[in-house]
Amino acid sequence: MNNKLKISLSEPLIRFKETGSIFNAPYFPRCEIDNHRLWVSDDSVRPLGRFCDQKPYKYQDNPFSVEYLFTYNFAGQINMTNFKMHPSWEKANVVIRIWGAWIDHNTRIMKGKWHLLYEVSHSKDPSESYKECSELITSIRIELNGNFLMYPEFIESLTNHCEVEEPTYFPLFFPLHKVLYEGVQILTHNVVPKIEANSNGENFTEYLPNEILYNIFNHLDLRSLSRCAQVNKRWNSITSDPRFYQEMDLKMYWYKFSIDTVEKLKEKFQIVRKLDLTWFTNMAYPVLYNKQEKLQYNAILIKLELGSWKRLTDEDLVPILTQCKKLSYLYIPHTPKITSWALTLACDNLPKLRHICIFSCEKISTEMVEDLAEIYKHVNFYQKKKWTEPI
Amino acid sequence: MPQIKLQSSDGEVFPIDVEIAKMSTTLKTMLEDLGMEDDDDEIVPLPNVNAAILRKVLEWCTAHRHDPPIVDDPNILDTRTNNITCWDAEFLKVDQGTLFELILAANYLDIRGLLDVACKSVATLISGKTPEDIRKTFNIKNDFTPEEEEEIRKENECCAEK
Repeated sequence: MNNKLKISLSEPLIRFKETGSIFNAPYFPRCEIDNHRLWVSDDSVRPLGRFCDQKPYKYQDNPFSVEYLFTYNFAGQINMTNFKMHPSWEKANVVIRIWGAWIDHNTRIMKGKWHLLYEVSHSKDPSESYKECSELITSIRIELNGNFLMYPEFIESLTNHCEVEEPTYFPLFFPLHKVLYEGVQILTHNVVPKIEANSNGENFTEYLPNEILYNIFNHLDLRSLSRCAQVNKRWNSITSDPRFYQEMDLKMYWYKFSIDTVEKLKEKFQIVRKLDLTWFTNMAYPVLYNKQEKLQYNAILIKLELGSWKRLTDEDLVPILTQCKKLSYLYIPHTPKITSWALTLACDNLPKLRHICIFSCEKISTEMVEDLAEIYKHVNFYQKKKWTEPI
Repeated sequence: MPQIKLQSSDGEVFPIDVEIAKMSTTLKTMLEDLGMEDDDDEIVPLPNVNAAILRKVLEWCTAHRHDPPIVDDPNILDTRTNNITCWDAEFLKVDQGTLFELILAANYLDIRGLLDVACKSVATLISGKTPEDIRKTFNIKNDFTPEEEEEIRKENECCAEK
């Protein structure tokens, strides 16, 4: 097969919905289908726990309820020109709509609206399906509506038609290339033409001084850094620069880290200034509460996220709330044992504290927060369901 | 508008507005230190940059001349962004050799914005690839012994896995 689509997705952050059940993937606005309407939360995208504030989003011209949808969030802009559906889908008489939106990766907030990019059904001429869109797009959402019920089996059968280069971060990963046949251009992946064209076999990275490689690596996440470390000796030594580990957003690793792994990373935690351990629950305890050694990073942390640590208590937080004098952001949503005592302690002890997120903390009532906000006017408390992450 | 002349390594002379030249911190310092602003006939030689690359660099500077200066704020650590504007993405659709030469030129001329965006686009080439794919992408030789490689793989496996 000549037209096999081969596409490698760097960060396929997906949301996957099957009628009747919901699967969550980190970082994506949650959606729910209810009475022919799709509900999308487009401002707060904290996914775990109960539903975020949801806004109704109704397709004006959609005669079908959405049966199946999944969303990809790309690390860079994508350009959806000249793509085709996989022929199997056309045969299957499905109605497919593809929507695109711009999601800011720093704030994870959707800017603007969803744009309809493509719409095809068996009754329509496929050549009319593509819709012009001049907006920037970093996310695409694919909806399927069909006359068959067994999607998973059908999707499985497609595997035979595609050459799959498939990340497997999520158990229910639905590869884009099983739907889109060809022509998805990921702009930032195409900035430089395919490297095979580099016929003289020259290694241009050799000409770059270390400081420039440092600048390049500084744009990478932890996973890519760990891979760069394995490339060669020079890259290995550059990637061990502690400055890369000032900011550790580990929540996307929550399901694969063991206590051993966390132990191994301890050295890198020493200089971390922003640490996100959302969903780590039990696993990161040894890092934060090793009785023998007082971890140095405590003192220089400016941002700490411990969302959904169900067993986290006020006492647990005491060392952090008394030692991390530079702490400016404290995010502890979905921590049912935390009381306002910890918040008072934090506000009294931490001169730089400006933002506390206590979304869905059961023991903290709205009145308590109002009282605290009255006393500590320089601190922003985020308790209500609808809150926007400070930048 | 006052202009100055830049001469590339291969001898081509580019007259440009001083305002645009000053986007290069190197040139800005040079102009201010030497008081060359009033002297229109002076030619600034740039022995490290050839005409093709210099033309690209000046194209970028002209398009970005109204950008606000980049300020380093120690309290903002979010450097790991992948946002490349459409214009820059089009601009950086070049072969690897040109891209790396642009990086070196931006580094030499100290044009922070161009350096950052070019480095970002190299980072997107790395992102999501396995170590072997990265080596292939840049023609990098694996200089680890099999034992070393295995050891480093183990060290990094917790975060590097797919």
